[in-house]
Amino acid sequence: MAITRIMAEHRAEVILGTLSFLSLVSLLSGTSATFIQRGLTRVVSISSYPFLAARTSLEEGVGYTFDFVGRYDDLREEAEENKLLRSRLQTILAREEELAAENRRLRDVLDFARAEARLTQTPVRIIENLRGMLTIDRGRIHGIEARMAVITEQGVVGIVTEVHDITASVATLHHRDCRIAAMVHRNRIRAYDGVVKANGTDYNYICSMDFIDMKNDVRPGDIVVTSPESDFPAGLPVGTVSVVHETAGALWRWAEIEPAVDPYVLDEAMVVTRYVPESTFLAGGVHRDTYREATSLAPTMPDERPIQERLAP
Amino acid sequence: MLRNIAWVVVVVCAALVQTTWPDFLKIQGVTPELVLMLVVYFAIAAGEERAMFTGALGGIYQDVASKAALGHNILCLVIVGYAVGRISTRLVTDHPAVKAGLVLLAGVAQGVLHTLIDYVQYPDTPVITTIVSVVVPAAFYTAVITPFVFVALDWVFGERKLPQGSVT
Repeated sequence: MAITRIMAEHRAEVILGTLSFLSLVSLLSGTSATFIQRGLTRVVSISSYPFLAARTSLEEGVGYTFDFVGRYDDLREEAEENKLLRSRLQTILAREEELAAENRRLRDVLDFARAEARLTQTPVRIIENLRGMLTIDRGRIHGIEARMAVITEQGVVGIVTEVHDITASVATLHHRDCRIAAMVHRNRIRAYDGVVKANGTDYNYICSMDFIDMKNDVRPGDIVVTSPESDFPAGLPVGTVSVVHETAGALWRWAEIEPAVDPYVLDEAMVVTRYVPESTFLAGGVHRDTYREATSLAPTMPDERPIQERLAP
Repeated sequence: MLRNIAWVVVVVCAALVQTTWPDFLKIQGVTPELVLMLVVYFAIAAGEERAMFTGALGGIYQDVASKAALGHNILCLVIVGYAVGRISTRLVTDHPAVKAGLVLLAGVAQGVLHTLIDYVQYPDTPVITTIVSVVVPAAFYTAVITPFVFVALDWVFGERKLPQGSVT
């Protein structure tokens, strides 16, 4: 009882003595390899982990914030440089895509020129495109003449209407000045005037074949090609019949033709400077005498002027 | 009970912060003794028993984390805790400067004890140099930040004095 009472009265000193004794024993005996040390190490390691993780996160956050603030000018310059490089890269990519597309088009043109051995073609570039009238980069000095046919591998583009020294104008099927003798490929039916022409405005993408006899069989979906009477080699696609209009009691029908070539997306085309009649070509013996200039064999177009204008002095 | 849990959490956190964040706390190579500050705080607020247990708990973490022989920091902190606890019963003021001075003295005493134990274990330890270049600056640094830490501890444990006696 006396010892208990003394310990209770001097509890602080007892605790001090006990802790000091244990510490000294530990220090003197070297408990670094004992199970006590290993257990404590494990407890400390487990409890330290969140602090170490928090420390790492804090260091990274502080470092990021410091870099963001301290290197703001560098980052801004880098961003500007990236923006410049990005715009350059986009330009290069666009140029590359354009070159690839041009390469594909030229390959198609070359294949077409090789396939159409009966035609002598001059490749031209479209340098202007206005209301269905094209300006090409070849003119009189290059051998271009009026009324020459302009085509692509897809079909008829238009006809040369005006020739200058180094340029020429081409009226496409979207322009009123262009009339091309054509026929329905399926049954060789022609209109009364024998032509396909632009209808409506210059912006209208639809052409028309007027004066179709009521008895003639023309259907939507029919392919319309150049006829032998035209300035073009026969059989070149002109367009596709989209709608056939018929009025009760009328003598004629007319058809809307969707052109085979959209001139507004053209970059290159071919001007037919001369061609060999197909029968002669197939028979062999292509002779210079058999060449003929690309002149029209189509009949004279009907005069659509009013009678007052025709008879006016 | 909650107060004791808070006490354990605070002591363990202080020991871990001191052992895992030394670079964060270092100024010119000097690290404050957070555990020592807690020992002094609890010696003043709750008496020498809680101060000794604070030193024991914090010392264990410091010994294990610093790979020192188990008991090195424990012995120093327990002795300092007991001494400060005894001295604090004679304090007649709660002025922060007095507490900071007490922390300064405790820091020097703990550093000297630590260095002497080092010297016993490793006789080639430069005692004087260590005390002058490490112990005294660390004690001063600890004393400087003492008022702020004590304010935070007062906020955690309240203005009331912790119950004297056992930790349970």
